[in-house]
This record gives sequence, structure tokens and C-alpha cells, in this order.
Amino acid sequence: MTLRRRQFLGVLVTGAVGGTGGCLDASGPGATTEDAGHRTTVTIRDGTFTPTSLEIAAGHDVTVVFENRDNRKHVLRSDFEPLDVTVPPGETVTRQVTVPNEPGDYEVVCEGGDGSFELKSVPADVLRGCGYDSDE
Amino acid sequence: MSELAFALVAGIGFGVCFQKGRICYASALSDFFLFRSSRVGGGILLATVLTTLTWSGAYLFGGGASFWLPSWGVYGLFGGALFGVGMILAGACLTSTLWRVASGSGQYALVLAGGVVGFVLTGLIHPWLGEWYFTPLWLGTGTTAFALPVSAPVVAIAFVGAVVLAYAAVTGSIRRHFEGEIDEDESQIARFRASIVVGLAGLREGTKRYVQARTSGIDLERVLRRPWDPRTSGIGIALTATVWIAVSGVWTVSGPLEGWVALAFGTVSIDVLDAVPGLAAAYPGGVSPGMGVIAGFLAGAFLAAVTSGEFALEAPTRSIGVSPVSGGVLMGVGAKLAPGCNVTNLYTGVASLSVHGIVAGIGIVLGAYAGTRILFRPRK
Repeated sequence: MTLRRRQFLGVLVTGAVGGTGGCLDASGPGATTEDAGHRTTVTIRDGTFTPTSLEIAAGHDVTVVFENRDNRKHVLRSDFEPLDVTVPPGETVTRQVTVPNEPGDYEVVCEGGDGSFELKSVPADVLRGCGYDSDE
Repeated sequence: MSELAFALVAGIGFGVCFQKGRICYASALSDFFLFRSSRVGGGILLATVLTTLTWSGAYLFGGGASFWLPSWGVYGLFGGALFGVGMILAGACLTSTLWRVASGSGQYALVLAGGVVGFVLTGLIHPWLGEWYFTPLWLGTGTTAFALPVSAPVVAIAFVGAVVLAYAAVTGSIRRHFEGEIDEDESQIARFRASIVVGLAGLREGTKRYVQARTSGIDLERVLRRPWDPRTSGIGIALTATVWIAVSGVWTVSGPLEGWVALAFGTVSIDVLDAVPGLAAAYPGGVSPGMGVIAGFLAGAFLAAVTSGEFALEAPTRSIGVSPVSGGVLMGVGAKLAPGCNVTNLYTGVASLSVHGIVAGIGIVLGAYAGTRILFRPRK
């Protein structure tokens, strides 16, 4: 049998966390937005984000669907990557976001003083422990 | 042969080697700290450096993807230290707990039960560990010295050379101390150099005697009945680990053991499993290859104990107090907070030159040192 290119940590963690779509957890009001395709939906209503924060495995990509339920556009920017998203009123815009390798809290803010939401980059590889092969 | 069948065979190999060689990281470290004995520790070191050499080849040929290289941080030191104190308190590391349980020991079954309690306790605080523990103590993404811009086997040879010199310096210094050869007027450099010379001579002599004893004919009955030289077990462990990485990946223990605990909880009831978020996250849904190695390990240790005539069901006595359980709990908690146990970090982690493994391994050694000093203080 040859050497198997088994999961490098990131892939393993993605697999491990895959059941929750790359997001470890969503917290805040209405925080049930993950699905199995590493997608998560963030709704903006009255300038307020739902959920208010998301826990995501450090260094991984997550597809975020920004859903604007207001009757005005929202311009979103982040403090960790050149994210510049304009979401027209009543529409949705999808972006792939790469969560920083360094664990911590990263903010996506709405220009004009509206709300914001937090991406919590979590070191899922250590959180998961060394039982990674159980996810094969 | 399926990967699970291979896992059982590899586990049997590990279990036999550990049981026959009496391989225990707790006793290896405490014996060294208390008596400067390197007998078991030498076997463990041999297993580690041989594995580093073979795994460097595996890395070169693309096997690096199956290494466990998690991000590293202060949590490795802290969790490792908790684990180290725990194994001294318990009187056994996690793997020697397993082979002792397979040999019929009720006392070490209590240690194992304590470890399960430790998994459950950390499992209960699992939702907060990422944000409140691992994130603030995080220092860097996971990597290995094999990733340096030189060939992995060259890195491995340099590492093995450094370990051999360090081992020679330590054992040579001990030998010179006991034989009264140390001249008080010697400079530090001269003392260090003389220790290395004496240590290397001892290593060469010991190796010669070891090889001669094994080339003068093997008595099979003796092999089955008598304990093995820890170096023989070290070679066996390294060979098994080399085969296992070719089949599947690196060898870890605490994670797959937690997988068994999670599987047991899930089998009882999904509600029970969900009550412990950490176990729910670790729930494997079936027997993974790593868990197969654990099952094989227990079977191998059991077979070795039976053929040696050492298997005996022994109930724990009250005189042992709460040390086994509390030591087991500390090991369980430490293995989750490091993360990793003695095998995952001090063997697999160091052999794969993983930064996390080395940091957590240092934590385990420091914890074992503190535990030994606290528990075995000379009475005034």
C-alpha cells in the first residue's frame, strides 16, 4: 500500500468542521446560518447583522452570503482582507472570505455607522485534538 | 487487507513492544530525575530517533501530509505540564496505563477511568476552549523542521546527531560523577568535552554488547517469557511506526482513545453524547484506523502479558488512595489542553520534528520533573 496523502491539518480540520460548514459556531441572535457547503448567510436588517459573530477555523475559506433586507444599500469592509462589498437594497451578494491564520476576532463593518459582525478565527486544529483520523 | 485490519496489526505490534519492554514515559522520566537511570529512557530515545530517520524519508516522498502538525502555542506547554504532573501522580503514562490494564491491573483501570473523566470535564467546556484558551495562547501555525529548505533526511541526521551528543554528554557526566572522575579545577568546556567522550565510549560499548548478545543465537522461549531490553522494544516501535505511516499516518493515542469514549457515549444515547460537547465533536461515527490501533495495542499487550505469564487480574487496594484517579484526570485534561499525550507529543511529535510536539513535549518533561520533585521529596 502506498503512502496516502491524508489530510493535512487544514483539510482535516475542514473535514472535521465540515459537518458545520467550516463554521464552528455562529453566535448571536438567529445564529443558525451554516450549511454543508462552507457557506453562511449574514442578514442585514435595519443596519443590524444577524448573526453578530461567526466562529470559523483559522486559515480556511468560507463563502458568506450577505443578504440585505433594508431599502438602502450597504457597503461592507473588513479589517483583515481587502473586502469591499456593496449590497444593493433587497439583494444578496456572495463573497468568499479567507479567515486569517492568526486566531482572533476580525470585524466586517458597514460603512456609514451601521452595524458590524465579527469573524472569530479559532485554532480548530488544536481544539479538535489529535483524533483527526476519526473523520475519514 | 483493509486499513482497519492493518491498524489492528500495527496496534498489536505497538502493544507487544510496550508491554515486553516495560515502556513507560512516567517511569523513564522519574527514574532519570531521581536516580539518573536512562535504561527505559534510552529505549524511548532510540525509538524516537530511528523513527525520525524513517519518517524523514516518508516526508521526502510526500508522506508529510499524514503528519499531525497543529498550530502551536503556550497551550502546549501548559497542557503538557498538566499531563506530565498527572502521569507522575498516576504512576504511568497513557500508553503504559493501557498495557497495564491489558495485563489485568485494576489500579491502572482506575487511572484509565480518571482519564475518561478528564476527557469529559474538558468536553464540557469545549464550546469556550477555542475563544478563551487556545486563541489567546496561540503563537504560530503548525510546521515541522522537515520543512526547512534542506532535504528532510539531512535535517533528521542533524537532529539525531544532536540527540546522540546530548545523550552522551548527560550519561557521560553521570558516569564521571559516580566514578569520581570529575576534577573540580576542570573548566566547563573541558568537563563537557570529557563527558561526551566518556558518554560516547559508553554508548559504543553498550551497543557492542547489545549486538553481540543478539547475534549469539535467539532463545525463542526466553523471548516469549522474559521482558525485553527497552532498546529492542524501541527498535520494534520504530519499525511498527514506519510501517504504519506507510499504510495510514502517524501514531496518536489520546485522540483515538477519546474517539472510543465518544463512541461509547453515543452508543448509550445521543442525548448523553450531546450533553458533552467535546465528545460530540470527537464522535467518530464508527471505528477509525487510529481507534483500531488502540484496540490492537490492548490485544498485543494482553497477548504479551499472557505469554510472559504476567497476566493477573488484580483489584486495586484502598492503600493506593486517590492518586490513580486524580493522576488519570490530570492526564485526560492535559491531553485535551496540550493537545496530545506522551505518544502524540514526546514520540510522534518529536520524531516528526513538529514544533507543537516539541513544545508540548517540553511541557510534559517539565510537568514530570515538577511532579517527581513534589511527590518524591526526601523526608527531613
